[in-house]
Amino acid sequence: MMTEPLPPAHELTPSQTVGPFFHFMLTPKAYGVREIFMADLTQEGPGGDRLRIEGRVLDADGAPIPDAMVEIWQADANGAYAHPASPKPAVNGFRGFGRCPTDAHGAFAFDTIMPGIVPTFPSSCHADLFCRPRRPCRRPGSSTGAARPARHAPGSRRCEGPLGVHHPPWRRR
Amino acid sequence: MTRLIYPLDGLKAHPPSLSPAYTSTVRRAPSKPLILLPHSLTEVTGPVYGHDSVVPSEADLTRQHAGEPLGERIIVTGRVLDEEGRPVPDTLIEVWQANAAGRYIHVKDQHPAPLDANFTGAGRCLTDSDGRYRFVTVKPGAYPWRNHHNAWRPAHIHLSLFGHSFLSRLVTQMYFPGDPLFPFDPIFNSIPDGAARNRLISRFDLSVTEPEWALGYQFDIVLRGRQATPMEEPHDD
Ligand SMILES: [Fe+2]
Repeated sequence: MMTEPLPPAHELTPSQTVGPFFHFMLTPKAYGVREIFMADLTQEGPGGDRLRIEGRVLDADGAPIPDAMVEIWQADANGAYAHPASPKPAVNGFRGFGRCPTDAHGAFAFDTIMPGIVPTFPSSCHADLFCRPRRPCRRPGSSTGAARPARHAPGSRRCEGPLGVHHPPWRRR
Repeated sequence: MTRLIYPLDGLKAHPPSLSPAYTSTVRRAPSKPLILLPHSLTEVTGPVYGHDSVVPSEADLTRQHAGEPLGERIIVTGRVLDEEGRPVPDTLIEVWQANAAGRYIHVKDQHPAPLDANFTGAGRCLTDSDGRYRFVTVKPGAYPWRNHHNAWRPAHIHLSLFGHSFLSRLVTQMYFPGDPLFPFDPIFNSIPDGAARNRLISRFDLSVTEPEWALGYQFDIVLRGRQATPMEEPHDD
């Protein structure tokens, strides 16, 4: 029997919740599984000003969500993304991607570098929030969550919806 | 202001944030409408993790320990495509699942089913130049959860994919054909459109099945495409 031909219309595969049990694959250090994504992006040896992003993921009652996962994606200090479509090539092996589970208090933290100015576009870090029951929270061009540099005050900001961190205040000064 | 606008129609396939039958959504869904923000280079870039990030043995979940796991050995394969039908090559897929008894190795899963010392249930693989992936595992068992009285999840494998860009990021679950639990599962049924739901059900395939070794299932995955149209868009933010 041959494999059936692909359907003519390529309709999107729907998302489903990441569930509460993702850690042993997606953030698996404690399970002895090889880990490839971390919350410390400075280990990739990039140059630039150090940046720490801290936050908490809370539900509508303000209760911590202890089984969420946050991902960030950003340019290097020169405003280059480690991706072929980036107008400038990224240097020094900086991949610009980080992943962090929330802890019992709903808290997460990333150590990274200040992203540089990206040609034509505002410079920023972008974040996806994954949390039971949610699929990836970030939608194109939509956001209600905003992060702020930890140097102001480590703390949290109420996430009243998808956390699509997409604000330009982190321009390189 | 000129912005890159990505087609949004396909996103209707996804479950809404609030699906009251799935009780966790009630306190975790956004209560306010989403705010539109300008796009940036993020929409055409995303994490690139290729051959340097995957060990070939990670695609065989039955060979990660001294012995073989219990359960029905299966091969899961398929193609990762975008909405324009182009293969998505060299993209990372992360998979995780319960063992054949329906128990996760996760510390928070304490329901009374046995763990299997020969099964972790975590794997990675990469698509080839034609967008095809393949992994070997055991068929996961159904398991109970506390969403409502006598709630059981249909057997499923969790998958996480990156695709072309940060926009095409997808976390989903693959199901098995003919599962009697489909009508009772609020997570599966959180997808409003029946045709879209069915796209999460893998297909038994005798041509993938290997004699006296493993049953074969096909599961194709379609991620968001690269099509973007610069256009004028009014905005109120
Ligand atoms: Fe699950």
